[in-house]
Amino acid sequence: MTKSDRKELFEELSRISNGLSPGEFSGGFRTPDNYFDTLPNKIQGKIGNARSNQVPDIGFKLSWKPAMAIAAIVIAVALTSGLLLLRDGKYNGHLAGFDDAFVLEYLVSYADVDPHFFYDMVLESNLSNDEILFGFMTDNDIDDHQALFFYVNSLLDYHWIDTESLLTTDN
Amino acid sequence: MNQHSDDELLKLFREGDNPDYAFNLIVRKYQQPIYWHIRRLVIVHDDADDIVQDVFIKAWNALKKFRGDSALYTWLYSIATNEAIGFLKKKKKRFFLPLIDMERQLTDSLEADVHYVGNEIEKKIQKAILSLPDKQRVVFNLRYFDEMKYEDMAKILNTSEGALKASYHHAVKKIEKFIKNN
Repeated sequence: MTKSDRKELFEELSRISNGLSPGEFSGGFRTPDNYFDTLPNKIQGKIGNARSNQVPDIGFKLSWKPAMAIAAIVIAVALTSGLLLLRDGKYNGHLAGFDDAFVLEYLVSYADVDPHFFYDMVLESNLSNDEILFGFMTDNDIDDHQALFFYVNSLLDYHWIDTESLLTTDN
Repeated sequence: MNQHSDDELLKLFREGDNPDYAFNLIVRKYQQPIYWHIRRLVIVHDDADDIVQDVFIKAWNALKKFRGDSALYTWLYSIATNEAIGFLKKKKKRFFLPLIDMERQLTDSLEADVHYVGNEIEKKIQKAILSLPDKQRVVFNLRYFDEMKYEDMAKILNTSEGALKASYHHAVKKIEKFIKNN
């Protein structure tokens, strides 16, 4: 964004808001005096404390390695089974005995999508649905179109948002 | 003002005699943009202060393993964004706040914050920004205040440039609507 774009937006916002005088918009936040002079030393102090309180390496490795391996396996199994259920098209409002709230929470936590945000974008952007949908996904996320469709529908169904026509694919 | 490039700072951190000094230079270079990015998300100075310290401590711990696949700048912004959003999520859960109440809570914090000195229009725009969902707020702030390129933002938020453009476009519309109605 160029300075002039920014200025233009600010001026537009100023004009809308009852003609309040335009000017450079800084946000209005400030910090206590000399805050940025002291912050680096505060951070160094905390790092120093953390270093002196560090548990010896050998103990850490012995206790955490098995726990992390188990956690990784549990997460991998949970994600794989969730995705397989979606891919198989078993989702029809309820996913394998889990209620909608659970599914929503699981999916939102997994892909970190705000359903309202998504819905608004579908409504008002000029992008195709595919562009928007895949914009949220990383390469390792859901890569099957149908699974994605179920995934998004599950979010929107939960919020009683009727987007049947909007969410049909463009292909 | 810190004149070192990111590559120089990373080299100094990894290969220099004094990694503490090199890290201190990194903190001095990025403390302000990172602090302001966090502050605009969590509003209250004390919260932003805690989070910015956590961000740099995490960065310190991870920097030895930092492979340089992304730029130091986008990497620090990613940590900061995740920490700030995580903080807001925890806050929502702790107080069982739905979206609308979280917005009100942040707006109240803005009004009560002794370190907020915005004029009427700044306050109005800030309230409009607070009416956006968290992720959209991040996109708007990065683009509007930090004047960040969509390309960099895409790396930080792990989202396509197209989705970010749409998000920003929509955020602006919402802010305009909010200001018209208030």
